[in-house]
Amino acid sequence: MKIILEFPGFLQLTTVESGGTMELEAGKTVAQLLDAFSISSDHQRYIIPIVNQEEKRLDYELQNGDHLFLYVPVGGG
Amino acid sequence: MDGKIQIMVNGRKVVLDKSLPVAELWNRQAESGTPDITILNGFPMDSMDSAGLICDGDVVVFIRRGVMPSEDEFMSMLTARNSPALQESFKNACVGIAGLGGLGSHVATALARTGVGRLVLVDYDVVEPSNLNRQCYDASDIGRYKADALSESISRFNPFLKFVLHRLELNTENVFSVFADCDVVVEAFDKAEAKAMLVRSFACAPFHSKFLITASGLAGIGSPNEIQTRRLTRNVILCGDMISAAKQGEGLMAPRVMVAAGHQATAVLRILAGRE
Repeated sequence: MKIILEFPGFLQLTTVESGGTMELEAGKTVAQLLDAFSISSDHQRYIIPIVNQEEKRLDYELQNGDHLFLYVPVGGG
Repeated sequence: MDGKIQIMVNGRKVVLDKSLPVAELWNRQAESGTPDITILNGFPMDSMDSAGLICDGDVVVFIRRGVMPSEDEFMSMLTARNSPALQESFKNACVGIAGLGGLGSHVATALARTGVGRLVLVDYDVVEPSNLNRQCYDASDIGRYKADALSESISRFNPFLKFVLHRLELNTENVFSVFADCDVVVEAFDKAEAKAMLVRSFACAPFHSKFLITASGLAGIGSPNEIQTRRLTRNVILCGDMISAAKQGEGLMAPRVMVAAGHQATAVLRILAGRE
């Protein structure tokens, strides 16, 4: 299946381009996708998955055609 | 009424024998000079001469130069600035501000100047010397609770705004009750963990009918054009460049902080106006 993946540059997911389409095995969760990018579970807890403009948990099972935005708030205010 | 016309002038009923030019009505109020602003039926006039004759049922507000207006006059002035429909939605709104630092103090100031009717201000902290580079406080505020100092500062230019002040730290336990009466909440925290906590809480049922305006990425002196407003979820809007975290060598500086705060305040007003 295919999803559109968007993420802030500092996540440094070097094998994909933010905003691009990526191929993914069916049944993968957001957490499994992050594992595949070697993002530690410690860092994963700061990530808020936004799927099709809806907030999801890390155990959300991605669907074909999903737009996944990995939102990570940064400090400063 | 035997040809007489009845109008309202600065909140008082006035009966005239016949229709008059607005300038003559001003002169009849025994005022010298010209008013700062003349407002006819909620809209400001370029000049008193441009209005033509007063008609039955007209509502006229003269704002005098050099004199603090009454509450009715002040509200008429805001209505004239914003248009009657917009000002009605701003005046009836309640907006929560979570964190009163660089973002929150500027967002609250902008919303208060625009005419939002009620603000819920939340911050557990006091004003420190290191805040003065970017936050809406004076040296005389150092050591005071930010909620107290900011509400007093705002009252000096909008004495009719209503406040609810909370000097506490927001968490997952109290956030729903603190903002229960708010239509929109502004996330203006400094720490990333606190930002995430508030964003996550807006996916919960008690906040489904409310909006959150969050911010992320506003440090340094990068181009202010990189700070943008985008929709994160149905009820969460994000302002910032999403990248520029505050860190050594890339500190928080007033211009970009104020740009981000301007994005947040504008997003609030657009929601209140039904444009989001």
